Amino acid sequence: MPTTLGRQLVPALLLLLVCSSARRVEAQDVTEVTLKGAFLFNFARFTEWPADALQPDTTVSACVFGDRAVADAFAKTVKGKQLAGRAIAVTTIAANESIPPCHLLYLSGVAEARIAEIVSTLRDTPVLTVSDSDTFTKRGGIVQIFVESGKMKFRINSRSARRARLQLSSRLLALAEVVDEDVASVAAVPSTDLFTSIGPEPASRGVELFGIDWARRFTAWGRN
Amino acid sequence: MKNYLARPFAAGAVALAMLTGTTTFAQSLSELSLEDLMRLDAGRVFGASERSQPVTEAPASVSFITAEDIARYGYRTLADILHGVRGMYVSDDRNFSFLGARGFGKPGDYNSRILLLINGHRVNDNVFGQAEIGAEFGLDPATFERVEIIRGPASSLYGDSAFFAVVNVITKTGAAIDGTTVTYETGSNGTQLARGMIGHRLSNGVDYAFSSTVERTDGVPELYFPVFDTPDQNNGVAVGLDGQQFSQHYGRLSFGDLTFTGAYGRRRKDVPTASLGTLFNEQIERERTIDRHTMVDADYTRPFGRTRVTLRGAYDRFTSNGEYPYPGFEPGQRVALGLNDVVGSWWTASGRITQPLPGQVLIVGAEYIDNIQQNQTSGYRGEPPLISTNESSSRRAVFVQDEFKFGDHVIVNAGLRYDGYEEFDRITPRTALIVMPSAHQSFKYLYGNAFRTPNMYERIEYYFGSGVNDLRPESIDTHEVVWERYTADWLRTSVSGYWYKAENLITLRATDDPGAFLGVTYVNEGEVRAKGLELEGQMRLWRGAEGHMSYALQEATDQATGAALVNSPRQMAKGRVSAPLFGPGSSVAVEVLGIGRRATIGGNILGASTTANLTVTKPIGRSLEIVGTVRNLFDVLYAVPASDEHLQDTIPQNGRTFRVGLRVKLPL
Repeated sequence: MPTTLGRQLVPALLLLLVCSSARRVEAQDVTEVTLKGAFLFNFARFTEWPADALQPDTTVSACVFGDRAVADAFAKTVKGKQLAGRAIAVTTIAANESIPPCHLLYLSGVAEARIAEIVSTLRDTPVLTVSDSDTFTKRGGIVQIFVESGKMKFRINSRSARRARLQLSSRLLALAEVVDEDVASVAAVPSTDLFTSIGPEPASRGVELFGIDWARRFTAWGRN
Repeated sequence: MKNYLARPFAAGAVALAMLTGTTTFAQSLSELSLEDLMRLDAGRVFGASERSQPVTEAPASVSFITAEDIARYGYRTLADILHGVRGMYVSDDRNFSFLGARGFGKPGDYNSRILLLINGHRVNDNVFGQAEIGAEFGLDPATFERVEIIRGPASSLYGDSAFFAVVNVITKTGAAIDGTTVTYETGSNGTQLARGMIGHRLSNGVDYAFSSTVERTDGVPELYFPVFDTPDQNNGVAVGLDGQQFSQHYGRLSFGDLTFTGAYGRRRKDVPTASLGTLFNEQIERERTIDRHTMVDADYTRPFGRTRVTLRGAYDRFTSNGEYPYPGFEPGQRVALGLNDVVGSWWTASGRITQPLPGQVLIVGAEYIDNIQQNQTSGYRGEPPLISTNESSSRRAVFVQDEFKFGDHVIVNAGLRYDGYEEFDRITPRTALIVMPSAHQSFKYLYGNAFRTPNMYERIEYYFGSGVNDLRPESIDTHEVVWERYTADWLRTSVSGYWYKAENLITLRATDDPGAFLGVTYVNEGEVRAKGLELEGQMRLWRGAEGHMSYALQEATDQATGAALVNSPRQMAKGRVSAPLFGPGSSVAVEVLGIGRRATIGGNILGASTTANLTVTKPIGRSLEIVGTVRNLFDVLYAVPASDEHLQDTIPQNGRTFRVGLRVKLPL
């Protein structure tokens, strides 16, 4: 046995140690949660809010609903970072709390019906809505993140972004899968304010099966 | 060389310690561009639960290999990929490649205890139950998006063959290929490869991908086998009998919720080892095998709100034709050519519903397999066949799996599957308790049961006597403890300890049953107990470099004899590093594979071996890329244990070989 692992590992490690410059990274040593946090930071970075919604010298408020781990990762990513001179504040919102006004709102693990409610409330307000829900952009959300072929990608509903009067950078749009979908032909009511707040989810929501809230449907039948 | 693994392992540990000491090695995620972030792997696995989930939440110890790894490390077969994976090892008998896992690598068992999936669809054939992992697999690794290696039993989800591990190959979409590539490679031993690939996703959502590969090689020109070293057998040298030719074709088309996948592969291999008692160094009527695999799969997956429904139909066809030269038995007949022809074809229909409920995810599914043909014909050329079986069978299964999430920190995963065969039925459970102190760390306790049914070959009465009608499935019970951890955002480590008991193993035995043509038969009698420890570390280093190390310690014992299993190395250590040394998009990748000593069927001990592979890729301009690979860089002489089909006790493996290639990539 003339060669040993040791003798071969040495040149291998040497190779490793003389690494030079390049910016190509493909590995599998981050969690999805960490990645989501870094993506949210980048979405904020490449979004311009209307001047009336984000005064100079104010903090960009980001809210994370339904996923504490993502909130923590996001907060860690933005720590010490600034967006055009503005600090970012990340707020975690538990499932039973109401959603305060935010510039960026990330929603996770929320029932379809609830998502539709939140998105339609926020439709014409300058809030960058982001979610990992499968049908988010279809329902009028602005950014949907998803995993395809093992990598994290995102889809942008450009019409929703326009309605919210958010300016997304061309770099962001170039990397995204862009869709232009309207949910319902509701006339835009331009709003300068961030929404006031969205109340907590009613506690006794039924189980959603095949996209249908059966408890609600039965109650509706009962009424007829 | 007894302690040969200790040194490199120490070196590896020192290197790891060095790396952990300085976090400046890796770039923090917040410093990476969005483009870079989109190239990072999200750490998800599909095949562990038949749904996409983070590796830390999966009820198994999982590894995966990505398309980038395949390109960087110059992997040319699924066997190359799996040989580099923690705890797995591949033995090539110069015809087929055999996969060992968890200390179990019985030579000649045709990988029937590993379940091989293409995009979740079973491709083990229905005659031998074989998972083909060499060039005979039928799909070019260049079409792989990723390969998921899911360790441990998974019969609760997949039924038959998911005994030691499930290997799920996920193929590329058009969007992933995005353009046209043409590749030409040439290398040692007259190797030549040509590949064309095209893929794109249109703005209307239609996604198409097609790939065709042809490759030929003459193989090693002269192979010396001492057991045949007599003057009338060319002094044990097989000349020019190691050639291989194959073609692999792949197509995928998806629109809306529908995806069609098709694959066709054909491989012809000359066999230099004179296996199965054939004539050695026979040049005219060569020993050779031809394998073909066809697969057509249609998948319809539709979300209804958060409910996800998948309906699937697939057709598979497998044929194997072997030619075996034996001494002539009639006057004037130099060679009697044995022919063995196998045809297996089957339809699969399956359905699955994934339903998120408050605090749980419920998956229910059903599967029906109609084995239309499981035929084998055997005899001598020009004679009526000795045996000709026309078999068909069917099996049905239902399964359920529920994943309960208690808060953010605890997951209980429980699954159960019923499989109904014509002769027997099975119920297999799997449970997992997963505790996640944070989103970056998880502890898992896994229990699973799995089975492997006797395959059609093992049940041929003509060969093995009527006793094989009583064969029953063999089974395994496995307990496993896993600790997975992500440190900062650049290091992933995994530690796994397992214990298993495999019973009623279908084992070949001598028989005095006059009805058994081969004088041997299969019986349910083996029992194997094993325990093992596996460590894995994966690093994203600074400026695009990455590294990976693994170590496996295993002990598998035959309970009847108390002896260690054949072809069961006690230790394995593997490492790989790659770095973009020649600028952006380039890569220099080194892989070092160390396999400890192991016993052979002949009762000998085969020494440990360490081999290294080097692959360099470098883009030239925008659309050209050159690739060079040297396998077995230090030209190490090594061998693997032979199976009982061979007179040899060990089969020598290739020395140093190289290949260089040119790839042209054009956007559409």
